[in-house]
Amino acid sequence: MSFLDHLMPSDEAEMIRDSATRFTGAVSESALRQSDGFAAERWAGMADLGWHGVLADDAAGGLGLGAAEAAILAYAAGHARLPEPFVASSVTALTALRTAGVGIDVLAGLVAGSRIFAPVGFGLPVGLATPLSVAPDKEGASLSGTVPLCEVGPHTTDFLIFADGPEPMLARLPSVADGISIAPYRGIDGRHLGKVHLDDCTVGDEAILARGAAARNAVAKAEAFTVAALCADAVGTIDKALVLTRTYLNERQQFGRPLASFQALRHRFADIGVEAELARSMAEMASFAAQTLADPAPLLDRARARICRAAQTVGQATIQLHGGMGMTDEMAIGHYFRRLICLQALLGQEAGSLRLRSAALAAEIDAEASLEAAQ
Amino acid sequence: MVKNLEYRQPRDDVWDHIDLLLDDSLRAFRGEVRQFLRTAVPDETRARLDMGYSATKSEVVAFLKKLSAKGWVAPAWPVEYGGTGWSQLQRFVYTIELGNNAAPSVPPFGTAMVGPVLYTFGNQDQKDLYLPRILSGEDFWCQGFSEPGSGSDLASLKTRAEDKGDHYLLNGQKIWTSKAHYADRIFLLARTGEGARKQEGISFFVLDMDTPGIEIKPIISIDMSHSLNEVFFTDVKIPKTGLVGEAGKGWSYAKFLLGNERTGITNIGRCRRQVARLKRIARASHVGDTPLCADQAFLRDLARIEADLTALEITEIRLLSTGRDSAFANVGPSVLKLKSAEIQQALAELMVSALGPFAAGRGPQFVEAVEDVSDLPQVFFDGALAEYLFGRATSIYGGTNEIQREILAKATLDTLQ
Repeated sequence: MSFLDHLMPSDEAEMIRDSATRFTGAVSESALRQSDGFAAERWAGMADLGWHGVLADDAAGGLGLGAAEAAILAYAAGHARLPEPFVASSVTALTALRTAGVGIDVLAGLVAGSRIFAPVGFGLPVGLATPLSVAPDKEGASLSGTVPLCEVGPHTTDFLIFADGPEPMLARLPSVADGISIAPYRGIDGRHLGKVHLDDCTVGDEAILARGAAARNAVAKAEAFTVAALCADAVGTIDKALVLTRTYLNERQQFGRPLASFQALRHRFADIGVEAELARSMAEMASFAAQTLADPAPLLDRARARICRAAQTVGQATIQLHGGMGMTDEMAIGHYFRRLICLQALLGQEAGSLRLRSAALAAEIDAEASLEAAQ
Repeated sequence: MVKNLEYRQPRDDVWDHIDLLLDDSLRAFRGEVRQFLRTAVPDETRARLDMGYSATKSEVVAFLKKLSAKGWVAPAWPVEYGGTGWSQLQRFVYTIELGNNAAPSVPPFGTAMVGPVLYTFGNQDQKDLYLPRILSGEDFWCQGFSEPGSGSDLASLKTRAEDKGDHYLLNGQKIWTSKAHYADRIFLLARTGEGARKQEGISFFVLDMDTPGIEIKPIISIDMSHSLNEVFFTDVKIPKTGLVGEAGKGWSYAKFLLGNERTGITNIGRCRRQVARLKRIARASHVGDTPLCADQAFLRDLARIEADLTALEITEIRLLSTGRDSAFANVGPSVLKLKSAEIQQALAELMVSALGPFAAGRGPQFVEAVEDVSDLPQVFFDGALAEYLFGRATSIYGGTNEIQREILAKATLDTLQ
C-alpha cells in the first residue's frame, strides 16, 4: 500500500469515523467535567464500538485494522477531549502485546474493555529513557527502578513493563503485584498519570512476554503506533479548538460588530488554520509511516516536531482570540489548550523531536563528507 | 580547504523520504525525469542557478527546446492541446525534480497562466495561433494585471480599452510586469465598460508587445537586478481578435488564472536543493571556531525548516490526491502559497546567515576579494544575498500572504454567518 492509497479512506474507515463521531457527539461538557479522568461506562461504550480492538486480530475479538483506523479513533478522542487512556492501552499496550505474539486470552480482555493496560517504561511519553534494571531471579527476573511518568490510574488492571539493558524484556504484571508502588498524580488535562516504582519486583517466567530483540521490536512498533495516534489525537484537539474559536469570534460582539469582522483576528485565525492543515498532513503521514515503513523514526520525528509546534501555536492563539474569557476554566477552550500541552509532553515536545532531527542532520553531513573523502 | 562542495546531482539510487510515500510507478517515473534532466540542464546553467541568480533568456530558451522535444513543457494542459496526460502526482514529482536539479524555471506566464485561459475560454483561432508557440518556446509572455493604483485590489484597475468598432483603443499603465523586456506577447486586463460592481466591465486581452504605443520602463528591484517593469500603453490598437472570451467577463477569467497560479508556486524542489546546499555549506562555514555543522542553533534551524518542508510536501500531495475533501480543496491553495513563501524565505535567510561575513557582496570583485580567505567556493557565496532579496517577493506576488489570510478567513471563519 502506498501513501496515496492511504489518503483514500476505505469504506470501513469511513464507518468507523461516523460511529466515532456519533459516540463522541453524545458526550456532554458536564459529563466530561464530572468524569474525574475516567468513566467506566464510556470505556465500555468504546469497547462496544470496537475501539479497544481496532488493532487486534479477529480471533481476539478485534477489528484487525491498522494505524490509519486507530488514528481516526484517536482523532475523535482528541476532538471530544476524552480523558480515558485509549492511546496508552488500546494502541500502545495492544501493539506491544500483539507484536510480542501473546495469546488471544491476554488480548481478549483488553479488547473487551475489561482489562486496561498501563505501559511502563516505553511508549509514552515518547523519548523518555527507560530507567529499569533487570536482575536474574530464580523464578524469572527481578525488576527495579522508577519510571516517573506513566499513564496509569485506579482503572489500570495490568502493567506492561519494558526493562531495557543487556537483556531487555517485556513483562506483564497485575496492578496489585508485590514490589510495585504507584505515586498517582493528574495530567494538566485531567488524565490519570503516575510515577511507578519497582523494588525487586519479581517477574515469573510466565509473565515475561518477550526478551531480547523480540522485546525491543515489540516496543519499537508500539512506539511508532503511539506517535501516530498521539499526532491524530492532537489534530482532533486542534480542530475542536478551532471550532470553538470560530463560534466565539462569530458570536462575540465588540464595537457593535462581531469579532470575526476584525482583520487582526481574522488573520490570526487564518494562520492557525494553516497550522492545523500542516498538522493534519503530518498525522496522515505518521499513521502511514508507523504502519508501513521498516524504519519510520526519521519521518515520525519530523511529524512530532511539526505537530508539537502546531499544538503550541494553535493553543496559544485560541486562548488569545477568546480574550479574557479564554482565561476562565468555565470556557471549554482552556481545557483543549491543556490537552494540547499534555499531548506535546507525551509526544516528547518540539525541542526533543528537533534534537533528534538535528543529530540526524549532523550525521548525514558527516556521512556525505566521508563518502566524498573516500572517492 | 574543503574541496568539491558544489552541490551534486541527486543519485538515482538514493531515495529520500518523499519516495517512501510514492508508489513504484511514481518512483520509476521520478527516475526517468531525473535521467532526462541530468543532461538537459547544462552544468553552467546549474551553477549559476545554484548561486542564486535567475536564468538568462537564452538559458531558458535552450532548456525549453529540450523540454519541447520531449513534450514536457506544459504537462498540466489537456492532452489535445499538448499536455502530457500525467496524473497530478506525476506533475508534482516532475516539478520537484525540476527544482531539485536546478533547471531554469519554465516561464509560468505562458504555460500556467495565459495557456489555460486560452484553451478554456479562447476561440479556435486563438488556440491555434498561441498554444503551439508557447509549447515550442517561441513565444514569451508577460502578465499585465497590476497597476500603480491596483495591487491587491486588482479589480479597481483603470487601464481602459475603448471599443472603436474594428479595434479596441488601449490607454493606461501596468506595473510589476515581470520579464516584459523579454516578452513577445502580453495578456492583460482592461476596462471596457462600467458595472454596478468594480469587477464588472473588465475584459481579458492578448496583444503583441511590438504593437506601436507600448513603452517598457525597467524597475530595478532590491536585489539590484532587472526583472520587473512598468508598461505604458498610449493609444495602442488591439485588434478585435485580441479579446479573449466575452467582453466584460475578464474578471472571472483572471480569477481562474490566479487560482492556477497558487497551486504551482510551492517551489518544493528548489527548497530541497537549498536544504542540500545548506548541508554542504555547513561543512565549510564557521561560527567563530566551530564548524557550522556542529553548531546546534544552525542544525536546529535547519531541522525545523526540514520538518516544515515535509509538512508542505505532504499537504501538496493531499491537495492533489484528495477528491472527496472539497473543504480542503478550497483552502489548500492558499495554505500552500502562504507556507511555501515562509519556507522559501526562511531557507534564504538561513543561507545568508550560514555564509557569515561572506554573504555581504556579489560579483567578480567580491569573489576575488574573498576567495583567498574563505573555504567556501564561489558557488555558495556569490548570489546568496540576491536570492534572499528577491525572495522577499514570494510573499507578495500571486496574492500577498495577507490576501491569502483573508481568503482563508472567508472560507474557514465566515461559514457560520
